[in-house]
Amino acid sequence: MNSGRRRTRRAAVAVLLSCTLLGLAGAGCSGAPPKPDPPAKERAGAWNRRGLAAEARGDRDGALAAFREELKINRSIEDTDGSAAALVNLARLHRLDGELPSAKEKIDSALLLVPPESPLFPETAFEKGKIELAAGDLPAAKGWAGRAVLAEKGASAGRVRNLLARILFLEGNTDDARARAEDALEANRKAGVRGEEANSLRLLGDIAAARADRKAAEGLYLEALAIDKETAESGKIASDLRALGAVAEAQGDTARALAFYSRAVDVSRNGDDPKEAAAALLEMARLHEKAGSPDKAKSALAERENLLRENGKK
Amino acid sequence: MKMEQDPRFRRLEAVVGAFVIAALAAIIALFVYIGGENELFAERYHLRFRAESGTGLQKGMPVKLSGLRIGRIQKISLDEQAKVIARMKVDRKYSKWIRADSTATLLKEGIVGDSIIMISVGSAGRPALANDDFLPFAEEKGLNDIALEFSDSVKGVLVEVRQTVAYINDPQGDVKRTLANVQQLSSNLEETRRRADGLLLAATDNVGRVGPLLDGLSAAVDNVGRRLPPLLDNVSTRLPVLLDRLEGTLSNTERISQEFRKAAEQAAPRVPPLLIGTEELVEDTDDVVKGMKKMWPIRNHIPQGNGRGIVPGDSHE
Repeated sequence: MNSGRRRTRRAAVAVLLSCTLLGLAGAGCSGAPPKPDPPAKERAGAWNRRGLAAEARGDRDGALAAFREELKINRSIEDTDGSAAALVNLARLHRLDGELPSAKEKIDSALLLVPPESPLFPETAFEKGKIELAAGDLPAAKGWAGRAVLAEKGASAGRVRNLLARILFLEGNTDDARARAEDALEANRKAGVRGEEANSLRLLGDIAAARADRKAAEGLYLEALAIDKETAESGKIASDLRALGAVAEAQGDTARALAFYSRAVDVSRNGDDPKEAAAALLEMARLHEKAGSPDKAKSALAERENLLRENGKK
Repeated sequence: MKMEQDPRFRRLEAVVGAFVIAALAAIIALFVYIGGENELFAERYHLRFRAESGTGLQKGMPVKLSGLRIGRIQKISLDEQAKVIARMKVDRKYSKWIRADSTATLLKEGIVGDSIIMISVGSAGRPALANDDFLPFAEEKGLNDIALEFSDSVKGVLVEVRQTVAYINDPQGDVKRTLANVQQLSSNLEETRRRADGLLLAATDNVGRVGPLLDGLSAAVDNVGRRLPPLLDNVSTRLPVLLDRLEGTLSNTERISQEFRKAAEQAAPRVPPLLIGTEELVEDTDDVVKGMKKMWPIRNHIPQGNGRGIVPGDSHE
């Protein structure tokens, strides 16, 4: 009796296990596997991923080499979109390296490949706008940023609007810049793009500071700082702190301004940005001089000199 | 009674009438011609300017625009503040060039020419001046003024030249002192040259003294020669032992390298298949990993890029 029951239980367990395994196998096979790419495309994709990874870890030379390989493979198979993407990446990296002629050459080549209806067009127009802005051609930068704003309908809408707002602000058109920046802020909040949300807030802070609305500027910079700390962007944190220092100085609170600049120096120094640290030290020296502490001013200037010398040696 | 009439006077009245009419017509034609030539019938209007002084201004003085006479000064009078008001009569057809920003200037045509009033051409966008409007007036500098100004500026230069000459001549000044220093320097150089000559002579004498020194050196070499043989004996005793040891070491090294070569020769045929096997293993592993990447549920956790990723952009780097 007992042995019969045991046999029945064993059979039930076996049936249950088989069903489970069959279910798992069925579920595994249910999703259609992605269609494999041709080998050349796979290689180009691999170089693209390597380039992105290299840039993410700060290896700019490695990234440039990878995107050049990607471009070469894409050109060998006449993959227009792939070539355009590689060219945009190369243009962006050249711009970040300060090599504007190379950046212009690459982005102009990309624009020849990207029609306005292409999904790559907003990013290409945005990069063209950034390059023109870096070259100091505000009307051209505004034109391209405007085209990017018209073309971009996705999560990057706030980013391209931020760029247009910044250009308008640099042109001295604060009213339009403010409207655009507020628009960008809303879009960035809606899309949950925190970094660009901070950029919108910082820009609105700049606009408020330009209008001598220091209270509002301080609030906006503090909001931007909170987000930049959340996203751990060292350069932007330093930028926020320096902006807060400038606002405190404009309010006549020298001690507070010095505290902000001191924090900015610390952040920039440890974030391996000696140029920004040196700029903040110069502000500190000026403030110390203004506050009647020439010794402290001299000390800040000496620290700045050391920093620049060390950086020059590197 | 019928009057007898001289046939010579039969048409006298008609002839006299025609003559008078022709004379009148000629007079009128002459008047019109002269008037036309002198622009007596041209439509005119008046413009005025106010000057501090009437010096150089005259009634009837020509008024010109771009060198062309367009009118004359009609009247010169004083206003309540004793300023001179000059009223010009200007041909109306030139009014389109005399505008709100035109100016009247009193100037001479050439260095010794007549004085005229020159009106400047106004800007196209400014309104034309109406009858009796005022023009701003400027008096151009005359020859005397220019000479005075020139004399003032030359005076300043002359003063500076005089000061410079005095400075150069000052015995305590920099120039004189520099010259004295240069003089002193050249005399010092002469002295230095004399000393250098003396030194060269002394060096020639010293060459003669090198002989005894060479003698001392020869004695030292003799001394070394005496000490060298015992040293060489010592070396010749120890060197064979050292050479024996070196030979042993070399033979050991040779044996090791032979053994290593033998081992390498035995292993060499196995290396290519090993490498091929490793390569195959890597390729298989790659295939397995790729296959796993495509499998559920792993594929859900792997980002599916299309190989066209873009470096993240930022509106405010």
